[in-house]
Amino acid sequence: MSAIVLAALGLGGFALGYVFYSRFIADRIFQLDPDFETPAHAQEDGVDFVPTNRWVLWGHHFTSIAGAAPIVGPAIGVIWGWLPAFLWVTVGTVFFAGVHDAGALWASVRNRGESIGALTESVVGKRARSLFMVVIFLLLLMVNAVFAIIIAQLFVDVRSSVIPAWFVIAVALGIGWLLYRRGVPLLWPSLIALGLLYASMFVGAVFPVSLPEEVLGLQEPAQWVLILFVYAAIASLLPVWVLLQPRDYINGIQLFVGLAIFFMAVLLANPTVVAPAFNTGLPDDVPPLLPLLFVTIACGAISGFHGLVSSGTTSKQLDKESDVRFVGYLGSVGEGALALAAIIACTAGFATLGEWDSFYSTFAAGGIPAFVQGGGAIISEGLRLPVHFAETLLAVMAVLFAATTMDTGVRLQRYIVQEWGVIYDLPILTGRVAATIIAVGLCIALAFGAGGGAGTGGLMIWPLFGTTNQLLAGLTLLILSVILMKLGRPTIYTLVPMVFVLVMTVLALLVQLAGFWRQEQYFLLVMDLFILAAAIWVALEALSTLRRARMSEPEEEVEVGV
Amino acid sequence: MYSEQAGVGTVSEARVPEHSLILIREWEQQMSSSGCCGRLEGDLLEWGGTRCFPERRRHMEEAGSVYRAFRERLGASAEIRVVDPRNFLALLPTLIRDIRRYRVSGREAVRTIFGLGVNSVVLDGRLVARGRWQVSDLLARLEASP
Repeated sequence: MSAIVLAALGLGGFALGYVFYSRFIADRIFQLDPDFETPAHAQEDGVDFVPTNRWVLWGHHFTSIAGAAPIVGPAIGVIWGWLPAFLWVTVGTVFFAGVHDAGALWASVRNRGESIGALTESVVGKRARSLFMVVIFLLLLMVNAVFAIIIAQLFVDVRSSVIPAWFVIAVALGIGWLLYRRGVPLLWPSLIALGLLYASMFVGAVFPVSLPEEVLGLQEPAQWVLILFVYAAIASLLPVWVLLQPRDYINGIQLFVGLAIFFMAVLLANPTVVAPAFNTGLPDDVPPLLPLLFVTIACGAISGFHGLVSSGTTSKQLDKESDVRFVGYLGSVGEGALALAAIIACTAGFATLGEWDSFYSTFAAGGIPAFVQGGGAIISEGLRLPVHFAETLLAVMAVLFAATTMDTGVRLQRYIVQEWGVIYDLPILTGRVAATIIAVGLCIALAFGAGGGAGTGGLMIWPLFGTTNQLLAGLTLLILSVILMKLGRPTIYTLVPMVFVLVMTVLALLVQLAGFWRQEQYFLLVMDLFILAAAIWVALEALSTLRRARMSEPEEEVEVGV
Repeated sequence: MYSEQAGVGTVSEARVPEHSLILIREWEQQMSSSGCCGRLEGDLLEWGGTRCFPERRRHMEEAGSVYRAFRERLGASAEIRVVDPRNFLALLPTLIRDIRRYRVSGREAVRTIFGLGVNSVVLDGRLVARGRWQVSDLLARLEASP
């Protein structure tokens, strides 16, 4: 099958979903009212609450949610064949993510722009707020560990990416100083930075970097994992303007340039999907498609983190409530398109089925390296760029996102640890350095607990990350269901996705639990049990809250008394 | 057409507002960095009473002063927009739209596009401030504009 045909089918599905299903949800379920005074107007202050044109707001929203996750998940998920991944991304985006993202935005808009976290507390109860923070911490723990492993593997597989990936730190430091301390204009430093970054890719190709094969029992990927966590620890302690803020500009430009290059290459190369529709020759370590597909691919189908974005800044800028459909629903469609691109790269970027099979030889073998190799081949074929440069470009793009996530993730974990230190009166947790060491220590323990001294195989964590992300989605869908129930409106369009993600989450956790026990992966087994406990907690809260809502009288206003 | 809602309208291409102000400043959040996973936004922006992005917060509040002053001075006759400079998809089209609508010269247009900083003010398609803003200075520029 032609990759263009696959892309057209996927984009066509998204278009139908937007035109028909989102309109149905908007008109009949959320009943979006263009005359409703949104918080942007009611609390207009030009600071946090600013009515914003929907095109500008869509750009803002999409730029906020685009990242590495809708690439990693599908890049792993195609091991079951392209068809299941494709169906989950398209059906999930249309019926699950679109409703979830738009609903989170709508719920926030109807509650004075309050966040999903605050709404969780109001709708479900104070216990749920604590649950929310635990889920966030677990998510950060896993995403940091997984991304460190992914970057480490990329550095080994695409050695030309090492120099540009580290050089960009120097570039970011320079950009930060120029923009935030010297106040220079934005455009030329950004373009120069981009030029330097691409130039460094050529340098990286000429001087590929490798670490010693083994140091103190640690193989090369494991050494990179440690180096990356040292970087993340230092970066997370720096003032945000020094490194974190400038990365926003570099990553943003990289994202859109990279996507433009990739999509152009697909159109010109028109590669053929060589991966099987259903992979009947699965490697032995691949877990069952049901339920693992649905937690392996989260972002790009449904992602709980999107609810945080919808109810963070976006809801405070919404000009008209009817814009929820365009901004919220279409934002999730954009994410679905990213996931679709990843599927194409990982199924059509290989010359033959045999080559694809040998790449996807284990469950952990896919992921970003498959995206880099497959996408690099397509870019090389379509745009006549050297394949090595194309692979480096994609690898560096992935590394930039993942490394920035690590910086933020460790920083957030430190904040949470410090907050726990205050709440539970444990002074040792309140120091910046101590809290950072604790955060990084846990991440390293997880990374090596999953991959051992080799520092590989850590992609086993990814489904755990997906289950936790889906828990967050389940919480958001619960809130939406309760709100709709209180309004006396149909709840099936949010309840079905909620039940689905929660059931798949629990099933996936049980399947993985058995697997970790068989493989004697006790660290991951303990993690799994923690998340399983959180999942059961969410399910019980859901039952209790829905029962209370059903017993209460229907209301005219959706406000939940935040 | 302008809506009847106080102070704000969405403007059709057929009717150019008397003045158009674009406040370019960063929102107090991460963007384009780590996607939706592990990012500083919303509930995760304040810890122990300290904001994660104090400088951005300060610029937001400065921009807010300008926003409110212009809104009070001009009311519904002006289009006032706030665009994050990291919102690449929207920033350039927004600028070009105003450059065309207010018939800004080529030289001035280049100066505007290449002169923008992370905190900038564009009035009727022309860059009038970058960096720290003084509301009084900006209002004076407004009075002096054609």
